[in-house]
Amino acid sequence: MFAFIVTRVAVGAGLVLLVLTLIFAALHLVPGDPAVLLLSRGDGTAPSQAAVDALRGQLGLNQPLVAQYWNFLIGVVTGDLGTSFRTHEAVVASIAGRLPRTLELVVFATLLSIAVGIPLGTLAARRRGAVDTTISTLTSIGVALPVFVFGSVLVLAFSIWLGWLPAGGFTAWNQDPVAHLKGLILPGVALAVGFSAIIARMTRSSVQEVMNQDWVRTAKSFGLSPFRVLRRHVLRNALTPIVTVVGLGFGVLLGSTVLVERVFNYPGLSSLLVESVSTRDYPVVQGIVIVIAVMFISINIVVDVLYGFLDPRVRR
Amino acid sequence: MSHPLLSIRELSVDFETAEGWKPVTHGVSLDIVAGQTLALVGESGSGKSVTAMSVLALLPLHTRRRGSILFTGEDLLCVPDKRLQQIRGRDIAMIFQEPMTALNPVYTIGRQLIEVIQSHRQLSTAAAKERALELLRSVNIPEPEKKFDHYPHQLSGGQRQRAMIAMAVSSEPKLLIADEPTTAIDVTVQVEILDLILELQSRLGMAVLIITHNMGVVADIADRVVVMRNGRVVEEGGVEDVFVRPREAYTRELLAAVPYLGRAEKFLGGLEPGLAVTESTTGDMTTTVPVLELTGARISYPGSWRKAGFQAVHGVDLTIERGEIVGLVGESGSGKSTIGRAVLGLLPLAGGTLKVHGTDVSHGTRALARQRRGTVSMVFQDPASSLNPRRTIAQAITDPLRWQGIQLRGMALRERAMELLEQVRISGSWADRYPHELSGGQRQRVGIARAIAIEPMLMVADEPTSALDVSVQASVLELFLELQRSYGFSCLFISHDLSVVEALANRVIVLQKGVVIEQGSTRDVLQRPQAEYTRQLIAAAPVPDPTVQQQRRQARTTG
Repeated sequence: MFAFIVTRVAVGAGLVLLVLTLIFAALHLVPGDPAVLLLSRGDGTAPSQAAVDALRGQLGLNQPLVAQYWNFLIGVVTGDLGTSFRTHEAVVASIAGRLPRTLELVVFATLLSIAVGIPLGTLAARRRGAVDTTISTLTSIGVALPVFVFGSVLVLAFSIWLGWLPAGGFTAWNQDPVAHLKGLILPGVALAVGFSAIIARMTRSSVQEVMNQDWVRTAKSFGLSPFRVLRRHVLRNALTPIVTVVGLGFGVLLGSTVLVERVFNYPGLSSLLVESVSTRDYPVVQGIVIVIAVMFISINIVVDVLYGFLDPRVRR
Repeated sequence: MSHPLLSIRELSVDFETAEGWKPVTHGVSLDIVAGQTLALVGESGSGKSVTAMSVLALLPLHTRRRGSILFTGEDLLCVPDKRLQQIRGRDIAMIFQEPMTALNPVYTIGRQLIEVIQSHRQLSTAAAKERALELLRSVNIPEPEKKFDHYPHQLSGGQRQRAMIAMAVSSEPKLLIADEPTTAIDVTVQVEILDLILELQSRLGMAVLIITHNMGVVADIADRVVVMRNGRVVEEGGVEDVFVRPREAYTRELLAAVPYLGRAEKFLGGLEPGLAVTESTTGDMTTTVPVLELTGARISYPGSWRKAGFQAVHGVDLTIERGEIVGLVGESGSGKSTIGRAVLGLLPLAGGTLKVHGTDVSHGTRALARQRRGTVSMVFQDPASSLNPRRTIAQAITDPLRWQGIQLRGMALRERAMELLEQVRISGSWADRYPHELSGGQRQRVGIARAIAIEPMLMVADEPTSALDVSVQASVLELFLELQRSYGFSCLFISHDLSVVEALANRVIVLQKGVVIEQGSTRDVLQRPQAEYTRQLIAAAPVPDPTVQQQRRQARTTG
């Protein structure tokens, strides 16, 4: 099992290096001077030579490519991702300010989706008939419903009509913990609707498949109670594909909370990304892409290791 | 006669379909006396498994049972679920056909045993573990302490079935229901498993209800036999009576269709394999060249980048002359199917040479491989999955002709398909049917028709009748021999069943773990085996004769 984890982590580290190289290459190997590219405003006017030279010096573009690549890698490892063009703040610092907020939101939404999706899917698989049809219809709607539509409905219902929850914004934990948690609920629910629907559908098909397996019949034939059969011999085995979906979904959510952050005016990582893209703040964009890529890869490693725990046949 | 332990009365099972309830069994009645072994035999679709599954209400959803199943005076059809849970595993236990899928792959053997033990007895985990180890010892699993922490996939097929039996006898049930317990297991292991069941039966005084299609197994262990067909009981009686003096015509037919090792002359109407001597073959200069020549062949399965490859065949020499049927026998893992696939070019050789009709194709180019497919064809084990469900049988049969460019015209292909179908005794008017509309035996005939379509020089037949019922097997084998005689192809016949090979092959090659143990003419190898392993295989093959099996059993227990 230890060797299994070590190989997975090593493969993950290799992947991170590959992603970093691709990001570096995207900036440096495309034709044209990155400095000119970075400074051009898109209106056709060329930037002044002085500004270009200054930026080249600032970005170290005068050095040979290999040295630049090496410096870039060292920078990533030591936590130096450059300085924002816009705020002149260290990129790492601005990401560090936003990342925990998005992470908190995504983790909350994921836990909520698991808590709703798995029981719902199991129920659909076990009961069939009308229950199944109802749940399947609901989950179809959940998958299809755009986050900004559902988010707006939530705001309308719970903050404008009922006035129970804030319509948006962000309150720091050390300022007011209750307000902080209240602010999480609506955006979290908005994110969880689609995600829990996907988990429910996966759970339904996975449970249905496992229920027809021979070992479930074996467990029944030995007089185990229906609940025990369901928990130990159906759900436990049905978990593998569900873990995949949760892992993938979590990764996707990290990079795509933009709409929810917009609807709820929530200052997270995604809104920073969008702001930086629209203001051509390349160091910040690059930094966020690296952070998201590394997290995505880490989640996949966690999923792989979980596989090993869930299914002994995967371990070598 | 003493009071029956289990008494099934007028049991009818219906499956719900879109058109309403469809009956599967009709008024089945049978009795099992305590301590006795009753064999429920029949071909596929006879309702034997459905009857057995009814006892503990393990049928799939959308089924209904009518009649009564009295177990020690209690009707299992009417008991509440809670009561049924108590009976399951404690009073009546089951073992299943496929121990790989019947055990949960994510728990260790020990954990599954403990779970079953604790479901019927209030025992601490330590005490349950003690009991589990004791059970593993009693079913003769080697190194029980170590195997306790193994997952099902880490055990061999026989060990898995032993673990399954350990679970079943954990509460010392009064009745053990065994559903085809040795069907997925090699013959030499089958003997051990059957011995184990009988030993536990006498030690615990259990009654055993064994469901099987193998008449040899029935002859070996049953006291009484119930023969079923199409959901009805055809004949019931003591094992001697049913085998020696069968009353019903169906029972006689069934017994006649069972190949009996050592009595091949009575099987398949005395037909013998051989070469139809026609003008074209006698005048041919190349007749002296063997059709297939493997020399020192080594075949490996490639590993992945973290896993070493696996060598399945270690230096095998094999020659097939023109018009000869060579039987390749061995147990699972012997490499027999691997050799078959390599002959077809589906696996590369890691070493040695492979010559097809004198041409060295061991390190063939694509063109050479393509050419080989024009002279070598294959019949697969499972006709249900080896025919494309979306092609009509006429298309399936003539596809090889199109692929090889032998015939491309639609009309001519269709005519040829009709002709081939008639040759395998399927009406030409069935040409546009799809595989799922055919029975298993018919599908395999289509498989054979497809293999002879290119008029091959060599045919590889990999367990072509293993998935078929015995009566169907006999007719398919008979047809196969007739076609072999008229087409004159050579054949590599891969099988685990010695009695089938005896009836069909001119020569036999015995394979064990990728090495040839013995080869020679069928008569020599099977009647005067030289190798110890061959002797073991022959002794383990069950024959449909209770007296012979009785003698063997005595010889085993005393010697």
